[in-house]
Amino acid sequence: MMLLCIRNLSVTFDTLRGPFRAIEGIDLDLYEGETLAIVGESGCGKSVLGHAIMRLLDDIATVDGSVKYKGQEVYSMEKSELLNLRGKSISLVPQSPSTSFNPVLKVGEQIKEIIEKDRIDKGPAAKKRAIDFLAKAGFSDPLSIYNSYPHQLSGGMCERALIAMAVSVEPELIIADEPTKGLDALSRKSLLAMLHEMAQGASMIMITHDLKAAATCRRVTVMYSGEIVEEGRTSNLLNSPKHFYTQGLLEAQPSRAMLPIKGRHTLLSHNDIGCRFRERCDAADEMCKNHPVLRRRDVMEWVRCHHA
Amino acid sequence: MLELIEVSKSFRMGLFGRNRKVAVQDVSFSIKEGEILGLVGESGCGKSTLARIALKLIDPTSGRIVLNGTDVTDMQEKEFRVHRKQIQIVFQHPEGALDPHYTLMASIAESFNKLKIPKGDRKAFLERLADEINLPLEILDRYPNQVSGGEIQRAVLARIFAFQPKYLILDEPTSMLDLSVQASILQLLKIKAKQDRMGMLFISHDLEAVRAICDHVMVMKDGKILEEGPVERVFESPGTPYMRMLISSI
Repeated sequence: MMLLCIRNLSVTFDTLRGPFRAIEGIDLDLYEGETLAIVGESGCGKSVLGHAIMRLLDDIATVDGSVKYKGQEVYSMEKSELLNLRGKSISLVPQSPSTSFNPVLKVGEQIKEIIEKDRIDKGPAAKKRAIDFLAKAGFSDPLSIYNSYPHQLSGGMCERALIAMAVSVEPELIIADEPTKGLDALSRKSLLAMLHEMAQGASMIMITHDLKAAATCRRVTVMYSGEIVEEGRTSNLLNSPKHFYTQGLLEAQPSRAMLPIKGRHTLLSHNDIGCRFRERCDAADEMCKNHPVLRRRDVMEWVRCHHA
Repeated sequence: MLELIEVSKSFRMGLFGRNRKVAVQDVSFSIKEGEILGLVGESGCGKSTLARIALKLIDPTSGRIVLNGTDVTDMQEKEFRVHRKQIQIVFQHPEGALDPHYTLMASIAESFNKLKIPKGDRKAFLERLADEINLPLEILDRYPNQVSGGEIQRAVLARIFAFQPKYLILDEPTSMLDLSVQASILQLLKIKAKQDRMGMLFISHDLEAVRAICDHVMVMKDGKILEEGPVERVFESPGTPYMRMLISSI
């Protein structure tokens, strides 16, 4: 069953230099139980997309298009419906774990507060549930973590506690924004294993620039300059990428050629310049002056390139 | 050569400093000119403490620091200042490294006063530096909040290269950067080590990056060096179960 259906989604911010379109024409489907990674460079709009799905940008941006959650339009929901959607239906694991918790409240109490807000448990039962989920998140002494303040935990520990908080309300969809950023190799591996285990049964969108983390999801979407440039099954996309940008990302890995993509990632947000990757692409020609559309190449394989 | 000989560092913790936490224990290594030495290990294993000791930003509890044959361990700051130019550091978070009120160019040019470069030569010097780090001059005219993390990190490197240091300590210099930007910085460091015979200590938990640019590697756990050797040897046939575990997590 389709859980999330996004059509022609655009987000525009009003800046001092005029309107800036952070994402444009995003079409995305997510099915129940599916895991999807959204990858791309900083500033490509992946986090904006994650926030737009939960309708968290209402006050600061203009959002056009449609986001349907289980067939219901998120952007026409009443406030009470929206509060139910956030948390119980869709849970966000935000970026920068150390600043996401309230610094003056104990970590466990913040998890308990969420459980009580979503009316799953109350009082001592909610506390017990919070401790249980901290234990599931891999803490050997969950009670001491429950009683810790955020500054007493390392970045990796905060990330685990945030994941425990997000899954403690048993959401149907988890949006994890850069869950592995800044973690060492061992912590990354165990955190990803823990995240997938805890998210079992739920769907997940993992926003990341870490290709190793993306490889643990079933499907990958690659974003560049505010639009989707390629999408496909993880093994296909990472083994035989069709878009030149995806190829460039893979070749930039230290384990491969460690070749940087030429030029710089500029924030372009209009289609009259043609393909947004044109300036950095070796294969660019006259045809690329026309903006390419995202077209289907195969089953579950989409690419936005005239040459792919 | 920059040598650290049996260096240890412990910190006083708790009420009235009654507890001691050993961060680094009996660590010895040397950074040779033109060589990139990797230092890998989990968060909290003492990597950054070791970097700060090598720079003499903090004093070791015991052990010696020897720079080009001179023991600098007990030197006072004033005395050490002449040597400081030779060792520079690049931190993990580029956005915190530069003054937000200065353009990148102004931050780089600040070093010119210290280097006593004549006013007439400054433009050419700056152009040479910009060329070296592959950043167009118009980007150097911007403020840190107007450019990407990778571009700030390049500007930081330009300011450091202006001093022509012999040794560079890199504390997770690319962990916050995108893959393509990371690749360009790693390539730049590799070239700099070979061309200018710069010795580098590359601290990272990105094992693939270490394998790609380092000549030697040290593996650290709980403040101690568990294993050390040429990078290919350590990665191909790790001598400790811990390193095997680290490699398996790639």
